[in-house]
Formats: sequence, C-alpha cells, structure tokens
Amino acid sequence: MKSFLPAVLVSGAVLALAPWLLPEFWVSLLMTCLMYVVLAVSWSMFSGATRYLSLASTALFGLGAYTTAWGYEVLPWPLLIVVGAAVSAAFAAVLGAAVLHLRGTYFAILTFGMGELVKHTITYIEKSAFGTVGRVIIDVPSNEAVYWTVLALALITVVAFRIVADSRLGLAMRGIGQDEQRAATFGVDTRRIKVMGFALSAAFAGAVGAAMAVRWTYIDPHTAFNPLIGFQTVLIAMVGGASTLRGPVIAAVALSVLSDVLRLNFPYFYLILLGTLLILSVLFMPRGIAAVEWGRLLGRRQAR
Amino acid sequence: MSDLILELNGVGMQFGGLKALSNISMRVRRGEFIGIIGPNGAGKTTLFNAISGVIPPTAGEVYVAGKPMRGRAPDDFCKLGVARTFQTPRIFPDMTVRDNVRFAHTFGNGGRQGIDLIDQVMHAVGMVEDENDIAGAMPPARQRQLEIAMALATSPRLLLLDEVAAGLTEGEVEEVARLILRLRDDYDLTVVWIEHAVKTLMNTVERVAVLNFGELIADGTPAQVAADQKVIDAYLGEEEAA
Repeated sequence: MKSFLPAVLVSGAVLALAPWLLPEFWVSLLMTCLMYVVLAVSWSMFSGATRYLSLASTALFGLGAYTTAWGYEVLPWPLLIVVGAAVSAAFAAVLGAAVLHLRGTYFAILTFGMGELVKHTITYIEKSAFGTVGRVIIDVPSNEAVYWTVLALALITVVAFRIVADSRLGLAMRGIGQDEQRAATFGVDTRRIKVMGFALSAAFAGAVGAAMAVRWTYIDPHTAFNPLIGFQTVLIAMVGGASTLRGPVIAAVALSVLSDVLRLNFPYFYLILLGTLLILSVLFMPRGIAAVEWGRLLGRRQAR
Repeated sequence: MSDLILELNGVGMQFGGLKALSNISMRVRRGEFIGIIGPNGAGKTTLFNAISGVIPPTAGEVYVAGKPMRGRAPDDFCKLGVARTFQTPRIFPDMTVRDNVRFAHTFGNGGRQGIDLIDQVMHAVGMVEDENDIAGAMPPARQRQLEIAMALATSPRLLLLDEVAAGLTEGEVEEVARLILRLRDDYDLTVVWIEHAVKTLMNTVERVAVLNFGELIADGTPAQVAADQKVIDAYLGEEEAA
C-alpha cells in the first residue's frame, strides 16, 4: 500500500496532461481505455474474487448512461454520475438478491438476460410514454472535462479495488470463490456478502456509464446497452487475470488499443482477428497476462 | 445457561430412497469428549453435516446451546460456537496458511478474541514456520492440521473432528490424540471425534457413540460399548475375526 497510492497519483497526474500533449484522436482512444479500466477492474472486484461470472456490465453501464440521458436537463452532470452509480448499485442489489444463489452458467445467463430485459423495458417506456426512440443531449461538457472525469473514475476504481481486496468484504469474497460452503462454516453470511459485493462493483459501472453518456450526444437503448461492452469487459478481465489488479488494467489498455488499431486497418475482419487472439490467449495464458511469470520465461530463454 | 451444548431429537436424513440417518437422539454436555465410530457408510459424516448446518436433516430437530437450528445456515452454527473439519480437507487452496487461519478468525467469534489467537492456534498445531506456504500445495496430513487450526481460530465451544488422523501410522495417531486432549484443556472445548483408529479412540475419549446403517446402536463409556453385543456383531466383531 505504501508505494501503491503514490504510484496511482503519479500515473493520474501524467495521464491528466494528455489533452495538452496528444492529438484528439489519441485522447479519445485513451478515454476508451480508461472506461474499460473502470469496467474491467470493477468487474474483477466482484467476479474475479467470487468467481461468479457476471454478464451484467452492459446493463449496469447502460443504466448509468440512461440516468444521464433522462436527468441531463434537471441535474448537473457530476451529480448524475453519483445518481447513476446509485441506480446501478440498487439494480444489482435487487438482481443479486434474486439470482445470486445460482452459480456458473446459470448466473451468467441470467445476468445477461436481465440486461436485455432492462434494455427492452427502457425502449418500451421511451416509445409509449415519451414517443421517442432515442434522446439528444445538448450543451455537453468539453472533451477535456469528460476525459478528466473518466480518468478520475478510473483512479477511484483502482484504489477502491485495492481497499476492497484488503478488507473483510474482499477476504469473504475470495473465500466464497474458493469454497462457498466452507466460507459459510467459518461464519460468513455468504448471501449478504455476495449482494453487497455485487452492488458495490456495479456502482462503478453505473458511474462510468453516466459519465460517458455525454460523449455520444445521441443516446438510444442500442448504443447504451450494447452487449459488446459487457463481453469486452469480461474478456479484458479474463485475459488480464481477474484475480489481480494489474491484469485488467494492462488488458484494458492493450485490448482497447488493439481493437481500435485492427478496426482501422482491417475494417472487415478485425473481429475475426480479435477473436483468434482471444482464443490463443485463453489457451496459452489461462490465468491471464498477470499470472505469466515473465521474468522466469525470459530468464529461461537467456539460459539457453 | 444450559449444560447441554448439543441435542439431537429424532434426527433423520433421507437422500431419495436412502436413509442415511434414522431417528438419532443424543445429548452432548459441555466439556465432554465423545468418539464416534462405525463401519464405512454408517452415517458418521452425515451426522456431522446435520449438526454443522452443512446439510440440514430431513427429520427431527438439532439444538445448539439450547437453540433450535431448523432453517439455519452454517454461519449461524459457527456463530453459536460449532466448528468442524472435513474428512477430505476443505481449506482455501489458493490462500497462504496464514490467510486461511485469518479467514477463520475474521468471521467467526474469533474476531472478538483479538489478533493473538491466530498466532496462538498456528503455534498449537505447529504451523508457524509454514505460514507463508500456499495451503493447497501442502500434503493432506498438513491440510488436516491446518483445518484444526482454522477451527480453533473461530473460537469454538464445540469442535467436530472428522478423521483428522486418517492415513497416519499408529504412533502418529497417538500423537494426534494427545494434541486433541491438550487443545481440549487449553481452549475449554467440547469435542466430538470421528476416527477409524478404534483402539486409540477408545483409549482417549470418555464416551463412544456407535453408528451402523444410519442408526445409533450404542452410546456409553468405552468399556460399556466394547462389551455391547450389538457393537461386537456390527463392528468390532469384524476386527477380531480378521
């Protein structure tokens, strides 16, 4: 923890300079990276520790985005980020209480299904109550302001991950991930811990959704609840190594950059390339980038 | 406060068509040291599952410290002072030895005893030097000892030991028996111990319960039980014949 906080602050300070030093394209790419840092690190906070594979990121992000879409003319944007976090946390608490007794594929599919349900509910409400498909957000904050806000959220998420990992909640969640029933025999109220952890991690996804919403100026349910956001989050966390902090951070940057570079250079088969890379990395690094012992790997090469 | 730490009233456990336990009634007083024996499949571990909340019984009632436990989760049993080990050790394999003990200490009643308890119980089972080892990489015998330390770290009143001496030589089993006796005095425990090493068990405990085909066929002092014809037929007889 001693060198951790200074390291976060220094990288935060360096990254904060980006809008002055880099062309706009790179700042925008950096913002995508930071968005996925928030999503993947907060996903790992709960799912990496408990090994409950959640596909709810899309729904949590979208709820945050829609909080901004609906409230933009009423509340100031920074407050909407807080409200978005609260909305997603509340949704996760209710969803978690309902489905967290299920494990594995069942939990994954149900969290995904609930996300779809939210998307279609919002589509329906928009059509029947407001007679609209999407919403236009006018008078948006400057690009720099959005960038710094997402950067701040990323730093907060990274620090929160560390605090949670060192806390009773984090210890309980790791125990649940390794042997849930055994954790219960040691006095862990597993149900309460799971709902708390799920709701807490959801808050960050909701916050970043609310923050990013102003980037699009036009929001409809298909953009806000794009399933690719959820899949990419899970893939980043898994490719990076979901039980660590640096894994998802590294992978968020690497995969966001990679998918953008591939998309620009090979617009027609970038998804094929990305998919192949993901399969290879899961096959050869099953516990993620963070678990590979790079030093030993290189050392062995040199010895030969 | 009641002197009874555990009471079973007509406890039964039915798995589909299989009756794993039927109509078990038993009382355990504070401070007792009870051994449970019985052939394989007699229902010993099933009994532990029923009295630690791991698998709730399908019939009858379990009382811990006078409280009815129907519908209670394992964490409630832990908070009322029940701690157990498993026949196949169930530790947290990816955590270090110390983190395993810390886990047990954090969420049970151990937290109230202060942080010293962690070092104390690791010392009690001789694991201080292994504290940074990854628990899952240790041999099963060490994992069993770790489980004892973890159980103690919850600051239990009733300790359930499920074959903690499995796979050990006779001399080592004696050592485990001495360890349990010492822990019982040091931590003021009530102990129920399942073990296949009948001889050592009979020499160590004050009271023996014998299970056979899910039924309690005898319950008394080691001398009484050894002389019981039903026990000889069901269990000890096999050994004498061998």
